[in-house]
Amino acid sequence: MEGSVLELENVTKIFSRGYFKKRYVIALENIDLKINKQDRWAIIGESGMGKTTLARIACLLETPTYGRIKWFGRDISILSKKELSDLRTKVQYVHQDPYASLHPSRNIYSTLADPLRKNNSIRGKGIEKRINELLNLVGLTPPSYFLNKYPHHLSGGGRQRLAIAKALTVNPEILVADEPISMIDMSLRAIIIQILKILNKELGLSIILVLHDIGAARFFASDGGKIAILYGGRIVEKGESDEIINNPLHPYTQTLISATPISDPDLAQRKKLPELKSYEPPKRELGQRLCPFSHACLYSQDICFVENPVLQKINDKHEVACFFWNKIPKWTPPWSMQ
Amino acid sequence: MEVILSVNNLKAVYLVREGTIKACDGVCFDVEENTVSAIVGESASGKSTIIEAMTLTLPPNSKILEGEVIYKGKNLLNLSEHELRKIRWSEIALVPQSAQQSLNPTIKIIDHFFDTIYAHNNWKNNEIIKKAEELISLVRLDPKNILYSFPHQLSGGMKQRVLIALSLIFNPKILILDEPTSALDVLTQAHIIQLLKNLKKEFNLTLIFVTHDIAVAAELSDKIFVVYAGNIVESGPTREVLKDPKHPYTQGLVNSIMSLTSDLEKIKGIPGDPPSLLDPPSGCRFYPRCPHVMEECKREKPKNYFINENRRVACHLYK
Repeated sequence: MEGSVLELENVTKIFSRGYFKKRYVIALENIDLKINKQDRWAIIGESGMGKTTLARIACLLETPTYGRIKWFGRDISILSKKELSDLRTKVQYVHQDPYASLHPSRNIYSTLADPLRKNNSIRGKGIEKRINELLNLVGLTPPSYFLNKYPHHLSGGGRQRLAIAKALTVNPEILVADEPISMIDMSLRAIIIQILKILNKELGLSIILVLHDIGAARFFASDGGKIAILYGGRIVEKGESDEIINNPLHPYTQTLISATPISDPDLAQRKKLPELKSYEPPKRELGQRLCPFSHACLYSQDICFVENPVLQKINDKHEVACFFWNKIPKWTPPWSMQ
Repeated sequence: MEVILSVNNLKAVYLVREGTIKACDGVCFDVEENTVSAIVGESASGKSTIIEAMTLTLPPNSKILEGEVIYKGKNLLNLSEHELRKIRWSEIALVPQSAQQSLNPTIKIIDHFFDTIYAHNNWKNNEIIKKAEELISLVRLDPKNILYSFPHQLSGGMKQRVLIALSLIFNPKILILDEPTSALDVLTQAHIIQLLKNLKKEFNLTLIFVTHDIAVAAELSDKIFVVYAGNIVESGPTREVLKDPKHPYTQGLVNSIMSLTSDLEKIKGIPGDPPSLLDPPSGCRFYPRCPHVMEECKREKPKNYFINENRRVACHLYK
């Protein structure tokens, strides 16, 4: 695999709040993430853990407070305006809410044709051909039926497909999708994930999918994808999907997997509620050194409250940020036979 | 087990500018005492309408066309407002959706208890405080702290728990919850599920809840009702329905769940879109998306066919 297409180095984002901007919220802290060509990454986090901020920073919709962002190996902070705007089309963002992200008074043809005209050299008949290709790709078939429709004619799933097609008009190499399935119908969610998988496998796009649902992340990242778990603005565990799901090492990942409801009624009956010291979200002062999960973790010791755990490599496929990953009891899925 | 609540042929519509939305179209089901029933469906399938119609809490632009809801031999839909007041909250309690917005933001939690009890009974103030403290600790919150906070000071999970505590004031027999775990974090959701399980045991409650998440239904419910476009298409014991779904929609739905234990090879969405309830398809409302569609599905609405004593499927395949 050739070099990384998107790299976050030590990225920190601090939002200031309040009337005098004296209150700070640490949304992300020291994030290191390297996305190679054709990678499929699922970023998992609960609400308020910084996952949307991460997606927005990766697309430059937000500037980091500290840290460096590299697109295609080039530091974006030293690029000229012209170079940056050329690169921008290579990184596209799919918004969470397809009811808000599409222009309501533009039909599907014009939604897709405008970015095609602006950013590509194709004209005339070529545009229609490309639109047909795109609509087929995202499953809005037959395209001729949809060309004159408006977003309000489509269901949530249809809108999200259109939003993906719109992002693809400019031939991006990286697609960042922020919770694209949270607002759409259950029976259509798997289809959207499937489309993203196909884009990755067949068109070779690198895809970053931000999610809160670890089950959907498992489906998205199965066979060859990667998963990163965010907690309190830090990546606590990352690696190959199968490794993380089957052998989670960080206590938070273990808790998250145990708490996620499962659909098999027999196994579900066997589950127990994961125990924690506290169920509050993490709190931290600016500059305070601690493990964000220390207040809730059953295994936390003194060092967890005074020192930042860093991601350590367990093997090629797995990194975890925990001081005691090899000292805590071995994890078994809560639904497995005792 | 004894049937405690029985809904027959319930039909409700919303009147909007474009026409009528047939959100609840001939719904029949029975709820047995001391069980947990889950009403499962996608968004806009009419699942909330069913429970709002049952409890007569529909918004003003709606109308109940026909049907009956039998509780203790009485049809709730025919009762006068006065008689209904006696049943509401003290026998049948409702926890509405979006806990975030259901509490009055201008008064403290303790005042919600006062207001509710004043409206129904005349208890003494210290009795009310005692009861409130008891209920708040029952839902595993700290009464000293929570009761004197305003709703905005609580997190989503705490508000949901406060609402559950409020609903239990008069020891109702039936507790109806609309999406009790949506908009909550995974951990909080696991907690609420556990809490509801415990409450059911402790108070011999009958729970009816609406959810869009089959995994939540699998963990919590004994019986499941699958709703599609305003109809109950399949019902039965949760285990049987999820292990061996009969209706093509339920089969598709079970395959579309991306759960941690589902078989990755089998995960597949249902092609097509859910129908608009303004102008639903004739015959079976699922036929445009159904892989087993036959001629008669387009003409005729399928009746409920019994597969065994407990299981019912509305599909022509099981004639």
